[in-house]
Amino acid sequence: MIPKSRFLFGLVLLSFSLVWACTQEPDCDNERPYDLVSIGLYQAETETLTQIDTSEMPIRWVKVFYEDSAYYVANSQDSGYFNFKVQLNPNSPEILVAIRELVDTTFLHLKYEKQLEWLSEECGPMHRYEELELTESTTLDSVVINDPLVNFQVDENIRIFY
Amino acid sequence: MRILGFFISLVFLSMGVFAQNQELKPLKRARDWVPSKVFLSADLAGLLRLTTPGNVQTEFQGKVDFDSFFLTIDAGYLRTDLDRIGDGSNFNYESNGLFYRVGPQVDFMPYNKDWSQLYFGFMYGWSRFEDKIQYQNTNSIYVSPNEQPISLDNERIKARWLEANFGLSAHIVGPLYMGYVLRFKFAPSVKGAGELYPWEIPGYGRADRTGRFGFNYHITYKLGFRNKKVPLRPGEKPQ
Repeated sequence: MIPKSRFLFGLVLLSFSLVWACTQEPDCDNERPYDLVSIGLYQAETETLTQIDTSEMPIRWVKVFYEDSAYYVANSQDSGYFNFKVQLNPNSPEILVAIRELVDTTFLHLKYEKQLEWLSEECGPMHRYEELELTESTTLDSVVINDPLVNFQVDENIRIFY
Repeated sequence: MRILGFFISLVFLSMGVFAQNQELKPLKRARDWVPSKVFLSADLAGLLRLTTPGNVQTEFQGKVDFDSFFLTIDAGYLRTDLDRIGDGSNFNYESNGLFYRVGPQVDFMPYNKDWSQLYFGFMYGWSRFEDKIQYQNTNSIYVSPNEQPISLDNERIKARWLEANFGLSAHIVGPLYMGYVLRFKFAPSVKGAGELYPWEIPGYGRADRTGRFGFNYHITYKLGFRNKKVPLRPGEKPQ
């Protein structure tokens, strides 16, 4: 015969374990991969880090090219695009970003590592990106990788100085 | 001459004290390190899963006695199929492979007349397996809804881990025993995985967790190959 106090203790322990297990299970609808690279545009030849004034140096558009297609990240009707985010491609280890100014176009060839990691048995896997690197750029001397990690905690991955 | 007599008396006296000390020492059980039997076990849940379609995880165990210790070897097979395409999800994952564990156990009930055991052990586990996935990222602008899912696979993954276990094996009838084992698995290491990180390591559990608990319920057959008497407790006289 199991003493009542031990039975109750076991019941409380089991209930606690079940509640704990449930809190560990993520909500699939709220989870999605973080795949955005943040790019900031700054003025060159200033002592402090100063973002560019888009009224003085307008940017017509920012595009990402992949395979035979391209998508717009920002265009001239957007305001405040001195800082913009580019989505990484889960089907490719690299993307080509083009930033079109009035006359010139800056190209950034970005490479990254990606791994398909698991969220849960029900939610399935999602890509995690890291080790962002700039392999080619038309203005390589004025582009800096500020942080190669790609996650929510990184404010800015790439800084371009004009 | 008197001094010599004194020393001789001292030697005899100390011999007497030494003999008394010998008698005061607790009696030790006679050790018998020669193996006498093999316990062959099967995981009951794993056996039941073999009779039903779907995922399979089954394992078998063999252990041989060395006095109150055992050398234990486990071998098992895992096949996982997570088909989540068309159910609001977007992946189909398959994995299969073999796993092994080896390690010592110590029996805390060496005097049990039926050879029932209460044991604690350490094991080293390793596994070789392969997995593949078809996956579609539905949140990416690069992926059109009509696009075929991407396929990724790992042809040969190696994994290893450590394990502490605690179990009970009780005599039922004849050479049959039943019991459970509770496992704590830790320090996993995975090698050979590419872009796809495995969901599960056969014999270990979820691959991205640094520690896992496991539980098996065993049915065991005792195969004796030498007549070995149950050891007597220290001081116990044979009947």
